Amino acid sequence: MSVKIRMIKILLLAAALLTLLPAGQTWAQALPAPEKGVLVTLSAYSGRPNPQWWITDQDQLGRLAELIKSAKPSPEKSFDYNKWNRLGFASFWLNNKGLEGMPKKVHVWRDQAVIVTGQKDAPPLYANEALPLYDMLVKQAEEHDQHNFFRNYHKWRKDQPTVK
Amino acid sequence: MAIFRIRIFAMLLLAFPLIFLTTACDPVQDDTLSPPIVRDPIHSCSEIIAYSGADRDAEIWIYVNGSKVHEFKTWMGWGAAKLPVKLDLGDKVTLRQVVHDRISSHSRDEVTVVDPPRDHTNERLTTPKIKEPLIECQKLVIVEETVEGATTELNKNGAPETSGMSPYPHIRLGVPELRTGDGYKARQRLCLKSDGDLESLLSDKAEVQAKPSELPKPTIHEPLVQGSDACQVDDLFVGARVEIHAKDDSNDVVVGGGTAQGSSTIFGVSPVLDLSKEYYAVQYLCELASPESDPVKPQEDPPAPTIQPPICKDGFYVTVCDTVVISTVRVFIDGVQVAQTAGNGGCVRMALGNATTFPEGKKVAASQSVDTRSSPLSADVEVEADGSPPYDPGKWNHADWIHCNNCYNYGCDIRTDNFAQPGHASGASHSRTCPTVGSAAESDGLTVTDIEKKCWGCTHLVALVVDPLESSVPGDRWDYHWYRMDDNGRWSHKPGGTPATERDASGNLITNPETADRRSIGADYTYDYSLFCGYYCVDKGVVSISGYRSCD
Repeated sequence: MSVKIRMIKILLLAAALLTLLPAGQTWAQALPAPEKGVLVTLSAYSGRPNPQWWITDQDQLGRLAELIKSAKPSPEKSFDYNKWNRLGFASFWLNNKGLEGMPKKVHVWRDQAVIVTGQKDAPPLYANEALPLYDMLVKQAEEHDQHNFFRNYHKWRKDQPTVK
Repeated sequence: MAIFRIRIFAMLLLAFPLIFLTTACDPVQDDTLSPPIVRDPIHSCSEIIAYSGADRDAEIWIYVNGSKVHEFKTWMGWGAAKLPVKLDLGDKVTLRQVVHDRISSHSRDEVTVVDPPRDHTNERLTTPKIKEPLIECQKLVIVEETVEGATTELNKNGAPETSGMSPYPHIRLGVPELRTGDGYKARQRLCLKSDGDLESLLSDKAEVQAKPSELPKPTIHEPLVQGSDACQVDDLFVGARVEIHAKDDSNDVVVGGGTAQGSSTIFGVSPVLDLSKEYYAVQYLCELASPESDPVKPQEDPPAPTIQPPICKDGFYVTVCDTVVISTVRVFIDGVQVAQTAGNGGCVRMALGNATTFPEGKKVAASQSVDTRSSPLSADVEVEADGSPPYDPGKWNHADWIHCNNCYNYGCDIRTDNFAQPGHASGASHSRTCPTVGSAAESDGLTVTDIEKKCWGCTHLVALVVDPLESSVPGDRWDYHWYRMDDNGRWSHKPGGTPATERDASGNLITNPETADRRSIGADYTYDYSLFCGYYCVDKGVVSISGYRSCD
């Protein structure tokens, strides 16, 4: 009798565990695009859709513009983009939609940023001291439940000087 | 006994000429004729199929499971054919075409009969839709989203009006001229031998609206070629009545026309097109007439068609464009004819006969003829080695779209700028396992290849790998990844939104994705695509991929 009860318990447990398995991928919709804003994409996956969100709040956009401007231009030679423009580095792409005075695209990882101005035939600009910008984006990513990509960053960040 | 013997002898005497005659009349197999193409899918219980790729005026022989079940004459070389039998699940359908005393081989790709799709209840067919707007005086109602092989019934103001069967996902139903205010609904049904009839719900009602105040000017599709018995008219109002006129200094007569089946429609003309005349078209909705089209004079000879590149080694289909309506198009490999079908005024897909395939490096050309006059040969297209793309990272690593295309885009060599996902374009879902990601890719058109990793024709080879779980960092961090083989024989890949590269995680050139270092190692996280799922072939002409990530 006790064997039977044990079997039933095992079966019930198995059924409960089965319900916890992830369901098949069902297709999400594209994020509705606002008329103006900045689309943030976290480079996280090779195949799966990367986490994305829009920044449309005026205060946040103002802060973002300020942080992009505060990054310090750096010669390309001293800037190893190839090192971190790879999977395994939690970089962010910022895409400007309809905002004047902001670059077309920015790619940022920790204290380094690549800025695509959007002006015809203009080469990308390389910049250092972009850590405050990265900090802001990491905070937003974590607010979007993307904690797993920043554990090493937080360890590294503790050793960095605080930048206001 | 003697009488019996005499009777047998007499019967044999009678039979010999019959046997001789039958043998003499059998067409001879000729691999210069294209085997016709059967349209896929065909659904269980269908009594109708669609075909293409036959020559004009050919006789089409229909085979089910290798036995001939029907034959009929075609004018255009493509269309729908009613069968004398209902097809069963699993039946295999092929066609042959007969031109004079010659017969093609069977269709290169047989089509297997499958179950029809059903709606979400799984007990009904999907509900069709009437194409709107319906306009008064139209003589045609188009019903869309029909199931291939189903019978569509059209109701007018609640009463049955007409019905028809179509092998396409739409049907054009001829009707008396539509009247303003009338309402139409449609439903479809398809018998199933095992389950009884399957029906759909009635579609939403479509009401007939008043006709516009003017009709667009139609256009005669050029070129017209003397001796042709066909004329295509473009810029038509669907369901309008069309007249094609021939005129010269003394006469203006109607030589063809009918109901516009679409915005472009081919009509027969009689007598055949004449160099001394010019032709124009007019369309009507009741008494409302369009302006006359610009007149077009036929030309003496058909122009050369063009062959759509690329043509790849071992392929057995070729697409020929710039064809003349209802001409005869021929394809040659190094001057030897290998295919023959009818032209349709645009591009036609033609199959090569029997076991013929395109050999690497050979030159392919086409010509077309109308009546007795032939065009010059088209420009040659050389048969390419295979469909493997060149390793060209610059094409993918541009700042404007590098992060918008992932490993699946790169593997398929198709840029969509929305981070394509296996199954998204075809509505298939997947979970985190090799079989589900692979079958979602298959539903996008990729095909599994065997262990020899060979892809035929213009397809190229890709490989799927999966990192099944949180390999190094906790959390829901599974991922999949694709590699592709380039025309240099090595493999390359594009890890997500990062640059395309031909090197693995150890910095080595990739000669074998099964043994390459398949990790992605960075300062923040690591993937190990440790599960090798298998190889697939990508035919860019067939595969359709998409995603749902924005790029702007």
